[in-house]
Amino acid sequence: MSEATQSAVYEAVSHVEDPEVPVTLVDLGVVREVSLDGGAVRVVLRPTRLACPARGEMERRVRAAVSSVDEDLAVDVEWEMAQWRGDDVTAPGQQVLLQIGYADPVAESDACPYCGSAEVRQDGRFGGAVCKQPYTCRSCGSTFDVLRGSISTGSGAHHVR
Amino acid sequence: MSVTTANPFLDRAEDHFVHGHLLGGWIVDYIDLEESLAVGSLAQEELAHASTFLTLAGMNEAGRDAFVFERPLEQWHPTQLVAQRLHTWPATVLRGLLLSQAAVVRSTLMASSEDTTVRDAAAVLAAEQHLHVLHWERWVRLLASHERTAAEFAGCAVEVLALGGDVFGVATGSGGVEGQESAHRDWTSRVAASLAATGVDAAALGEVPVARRPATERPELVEVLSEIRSIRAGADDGVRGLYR
Repeated sequence: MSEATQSAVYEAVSHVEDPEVPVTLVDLGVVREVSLDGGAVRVVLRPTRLACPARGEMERRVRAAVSSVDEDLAVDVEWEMAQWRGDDVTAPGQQVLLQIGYADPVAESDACPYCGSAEVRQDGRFGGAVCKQPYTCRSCGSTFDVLRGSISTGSGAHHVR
Repeated sequence: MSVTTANPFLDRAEDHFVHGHLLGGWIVDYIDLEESLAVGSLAQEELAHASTFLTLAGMNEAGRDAFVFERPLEQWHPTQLVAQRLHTWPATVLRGLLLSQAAVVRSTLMASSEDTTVRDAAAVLAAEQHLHVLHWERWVRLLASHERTAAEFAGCAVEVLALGGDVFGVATGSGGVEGQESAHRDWTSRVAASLAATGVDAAALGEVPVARRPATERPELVEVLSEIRSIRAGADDGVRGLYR
């Protein structure tokens, strides 16, 4: 298989968006490897949390992206059981997440993405999805989410309502 | 399918799977929307952790399905903590605390594995279960400290802790698992710390783990497993038939 095909496959996979937030899987740090060996493509993905319910849809989108380059390519999607961290998010991904109301994942900060205040309250350890923790800003009153990966977060008891 | 639970990963998968199923019952039976969302996530993660252990035991998707839906009942040996429904919220909270603390202890043991995949998975499982511990500990504090719930909580603690002695036990006749007694001690000390301010004595968990019994000796567990398997039973092969 040609280098051009390898490049085209990576290009196609790099445009696949997360089913919930308008950020590509590459920018979210979910895509860990895209390799081509002969007529077989191997894509390694890492979920934010093991129970991420979007895994099936992500996999379908990745397979469709590879097939869009050459439908004869075999696709092997492998899910890693390894830790996803906020700093796996790329700079472009970080900017989009801040704009749509997520705390800065790279800084692993829980500061308000709208006004920057650190005066925030954690409203629980689980929110609308397994990878989201709900917060309220005490300064501007906005509600927002912190993307939570699978790393230990200490006692985390200080803010919980 | 003939699989025994001599592989410790399989014991753990049973505990997480049945617990996830039982927790799911609270998703629509709680008056606080935020807590319903949280319990839904906790249940989801319990099922995912069961799947992770089955994967670590070498099972593919078909094998994981067969483990849950096709294995004879006499091969199931989950902890007594998930062998009955526990109908109250304080009992559910205590069960969640005991199981999440046990999962953290098990992850710690897995972290010394020579297998990189097991070590990586252990780090993820430990972190995710740590969050479960924090969630359940908050509820323990709330229930044990409020005058309207403290007495019920203490009563439930007696009931639930009496079920937990087999968490680090193995099925009778399947041989011992190295380190299970020290793991039991580590677990009971963690539980004691979580319950320190509540007046509940974790000594009820016992000094050494007791053996696990097969599902066939536990009628309520048989009922729960039948409920789980009903998705594959009946006309047109159950719900699965709808998605073909």
